[in-house]
Amino acid sequence: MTGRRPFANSVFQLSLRYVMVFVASAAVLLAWLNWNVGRFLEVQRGEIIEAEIQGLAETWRRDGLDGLLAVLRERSGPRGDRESAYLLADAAQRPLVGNVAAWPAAAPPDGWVDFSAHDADGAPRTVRARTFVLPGGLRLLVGRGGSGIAAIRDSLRDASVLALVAALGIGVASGWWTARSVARRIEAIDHAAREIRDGDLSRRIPLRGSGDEFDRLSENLNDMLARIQSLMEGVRHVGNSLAHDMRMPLSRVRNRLEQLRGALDDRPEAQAEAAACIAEADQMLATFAALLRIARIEGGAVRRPQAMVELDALLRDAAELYAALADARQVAIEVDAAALRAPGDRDLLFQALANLLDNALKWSPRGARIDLRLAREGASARIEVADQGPGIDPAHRERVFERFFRADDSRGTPGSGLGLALVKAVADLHHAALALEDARPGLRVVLRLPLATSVGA
Amino acid sequence: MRILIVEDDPNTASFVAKGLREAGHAVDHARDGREGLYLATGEPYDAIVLDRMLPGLDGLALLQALRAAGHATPVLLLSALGEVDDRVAGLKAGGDDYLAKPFAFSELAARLEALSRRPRGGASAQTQLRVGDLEMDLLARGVRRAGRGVDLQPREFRLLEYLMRHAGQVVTRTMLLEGVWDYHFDPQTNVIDVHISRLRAKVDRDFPRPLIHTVRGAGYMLSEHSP
Repeated sequence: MTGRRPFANSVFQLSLRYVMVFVASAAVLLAWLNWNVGRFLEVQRGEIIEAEIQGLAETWRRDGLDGLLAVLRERSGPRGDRESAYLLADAAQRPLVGNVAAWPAAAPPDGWVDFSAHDADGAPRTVRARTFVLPGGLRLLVGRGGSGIAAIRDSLRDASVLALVAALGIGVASGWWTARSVARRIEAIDHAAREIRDGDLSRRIPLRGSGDEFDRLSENLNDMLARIQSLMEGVRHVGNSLAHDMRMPLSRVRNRLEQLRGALDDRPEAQAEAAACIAEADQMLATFAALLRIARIEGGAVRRPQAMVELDALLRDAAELYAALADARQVAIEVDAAALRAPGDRDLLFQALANLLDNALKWSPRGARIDLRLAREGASARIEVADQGPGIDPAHRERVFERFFRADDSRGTPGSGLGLALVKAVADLHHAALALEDARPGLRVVLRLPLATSVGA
Repeated sequence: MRILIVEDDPNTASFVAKGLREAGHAVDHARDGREGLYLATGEPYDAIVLDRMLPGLDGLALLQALRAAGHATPVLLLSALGEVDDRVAGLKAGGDDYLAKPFAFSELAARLEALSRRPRGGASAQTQLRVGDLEMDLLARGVRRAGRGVDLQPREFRLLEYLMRHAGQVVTRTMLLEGVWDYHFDPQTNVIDVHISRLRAKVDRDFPRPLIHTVRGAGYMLSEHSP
């Protein structure tokens, strides 16, 4: 299936792009969330420190230095909050009481400071603290460690990354799945369209019954096809009934002309004129007969034949019948036929071969050769008629099997334009594939006739 | 010859009847199947022209009834259908020849002539055919004209044999395709004409009086005398 990849790719690329946009916006959202939570935690730490300072200030006012010392000892002891940091130092910044080992060098006398320190267990921690100068030159530091904040920030960051990776994975997977199911629907339509293009106008696009947009599209296409088909049948019907209704009166005219010619024994000129009219009428009758014959074969009036036909004998007979005509035009017919039998209608297959040979002869220059070949090709018999004439313009190849189609450069040659259409009808009746190839130089018509009747066909 | 036409279409019937009468035959006409069967079983005809689609009694049913009653009168079936299936069914039911409508009168006349003159039952045991100074030995597959050997290809032999068996009768191109090549089809070109002219070259060229004649608008005839 050549149609599969581009479809899958286009839908997949679209969903991939969508997934990328989604993941990027989720990343921005999560980054903002992380930053905001971090800021909030910092503000909260500042507020806790402020509250603690307030409490210590009250103790100072109420109980003086002794009270403050007692509280500081209590809080920085083993029963105190592990995150809290206290230090009371003298004017020379020598520590007196507290759980911070030394006065941080970067700390201003009165203000905020961030510094690294070791807690009672020796573990490193970052601390944010406020410093004061107490009356009498003592210095106080009150602060809080950041390990709790760091832990929250870390886990939030990890969760965000995990969520983004998961969203990316799920997005890509669902994009692939969507692409695949869309591709399948389109492929079903594409497949049906190809069969219709290849000539099966009765083919319809299968519906799922879900009533979705694909079903609606398929329904509309099917309606369109039904309309095209009925129009085509109408045109064909008009043509066929015209041929049918014209045949009888025309044949009566022809026969009266014949009688007239018989009565004109004494006037040879008028007799020749009548003969020319008869020949014209015969040509028209032959065209009508061919047209109706095609219609009958196509319309299923002729049953699919089951009898086995000796194809090699058929080829040799056809070559032999046309050999005399070919000789007269200095064209050689070469037969190379393997012994093969296939189910079919002997007379119709012979008719098809005769029409192909007739066509090949018509286009063969003097001294040329026509090759008639028969060989097995898989489950088919490959029948080939190749001439060395001018061939057919590739632009016309699709159309030469249409009724009355005649390439512009063949207008001057005799023929009804129905010979190859009849070949096509016979091929279709036999479920045989018909192909035109370039024989370099010339035209090669290849008929692939199934060697066995397929079941259910 | 006495000929019965069983045909419901008045146009076809009158044109066939008129043509046959002008050719010197006695013609009876039945408009439906029952009348046709009544006449066919009661009168001695040389040939019957029978339409397949008839009111009252279908052509095939009439044919079967006629054959069941023991009448061997040659029957030429006419049909508007004219496809292989119909022909096979018609011949199976006891028809002797089959002609698809529309047809040229000359085609019908030639076929009727051939039917009525056809040797019935076992007469094909002939080993020699002779027309004028042309002799054909069917056993030795040899042909001589005025005592001189004529060298023929197998198909030319069969073509000449067919013409000799129908000597004095008009033989159409379709009859030749069916009788000599055994294919029922519609050639777009006159492939037969080239075969005939080759045969002429071998049989007639060196002789002052030709045996193979062209019958304009109809076909060919092998005869000592010009038609």
